[in-house]
Amino acid sequence: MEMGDFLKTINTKNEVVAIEKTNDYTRLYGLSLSEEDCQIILKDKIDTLKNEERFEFGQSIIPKLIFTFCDSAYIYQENYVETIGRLVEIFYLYKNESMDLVNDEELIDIMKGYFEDICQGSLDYLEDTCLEDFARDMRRDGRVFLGGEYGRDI
Amino acid sequence: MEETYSTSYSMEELTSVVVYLAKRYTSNESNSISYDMARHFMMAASYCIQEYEDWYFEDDYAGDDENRGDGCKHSIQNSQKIDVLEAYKKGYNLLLIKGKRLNKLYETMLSTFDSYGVRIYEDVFRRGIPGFIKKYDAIYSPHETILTMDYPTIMSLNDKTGMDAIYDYLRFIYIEQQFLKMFSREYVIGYLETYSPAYKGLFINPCEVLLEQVLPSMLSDEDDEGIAADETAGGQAKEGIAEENSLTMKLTRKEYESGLSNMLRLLIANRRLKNDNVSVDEYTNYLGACIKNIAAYIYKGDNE
Repeated sequence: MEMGDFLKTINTKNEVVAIEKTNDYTRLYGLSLSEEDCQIILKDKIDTLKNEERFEFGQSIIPKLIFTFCDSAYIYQENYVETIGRLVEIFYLYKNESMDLVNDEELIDIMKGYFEDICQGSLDYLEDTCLEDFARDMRRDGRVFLGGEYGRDI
Repeated sequence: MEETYSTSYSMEELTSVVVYLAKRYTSNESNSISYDMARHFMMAASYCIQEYEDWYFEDDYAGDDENRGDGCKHSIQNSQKIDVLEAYKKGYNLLLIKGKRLNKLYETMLSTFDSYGVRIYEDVFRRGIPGFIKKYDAIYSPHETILTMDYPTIMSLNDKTGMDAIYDYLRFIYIEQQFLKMFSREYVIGYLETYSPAYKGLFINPCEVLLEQVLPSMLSDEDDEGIAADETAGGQAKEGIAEENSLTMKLTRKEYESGLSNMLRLLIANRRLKNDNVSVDEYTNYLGACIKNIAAYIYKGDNE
């Protein structure tokens, strides 16, 4: 088996359970996911990992994204699944675009800062404009202090 | 290029080492790495494990023919196999030991190294090797050679990479230096200048140049420099060849090779320094690698 193929087949066991567990917290904000929703989000994530050629080895990023974004005024039950799916996609895209110079929590915080502030809930603006600028700065200047300048204060 | 180095562990098993390295690399602050990075870590993992398995088979099974050879690693019984992460860590530690040996060897050579004016030789030794020692990363990139090894050693390093390649490379240079010291500096430089007045800028191996001229002259009794101090033994070696071909008196290429090998062994035995810690076998194995070329050259000259 080619190594590339092997990395693509890594599955994420028990991930559905971990995502479902976030409901205990997100219900406070009127958000919840069914098992079917979890499967959809998970499938999107696996597709994204393949497209972005990334190998996931730690705990799933989905619960972290859910916990960070669930208090947003721009996310409600009707767009919840789709938004989380897009956020996962944007997250892995910009992990690559920033050449892994930012860690997961920093990137999620930056995404949240932009999403709430300048993007006012627009995922397209977040993806195509704000994070694009951020990634370009990262590639040009390398790892810099991330407080204040990007998104909200982190 | 192969995707991993040859070990008795499958790619699935190696993944746990990749995860270990990835967590360490990202300080547990990222949950993913790119495929390129994963492949790189897979190479690093397999390189260290190969180091461990090579050591295991060399030391623990020395003399046991059934357990030696290329295919033996793949026939390791499951009961013999240790945990993949343990094998990786053992291999990594062996690599560190090899690194210390490399450092020590380099320091030993530092004060006496002589490039005889060959610039590439000087560059590789004075800048290349220290650069490798400084930049080598045994954790994340143990398989990377870093150094381009522009100086042509007599024996090739085959498919070796990383620390293994550089250690062998330096060891070859050490053997060469010990060999060259058997002659006076002026003598070596004289031969290099005969080879080419602009030899300093050429990508040449001084040992090979020296042997190309010394060995044939010993074989054809033009040894007016007195290189083969033991004339009797030299004469016996030549007689042996002549007897084999008493009818034609024209030697085959194989006979030339055998004659030149004898001359080389004789040369080393006679001129070997007292404090020399390279064995005659090591000399002949390494320096003998250029004998085929020299024999072919003489044979071609004979038949023209």
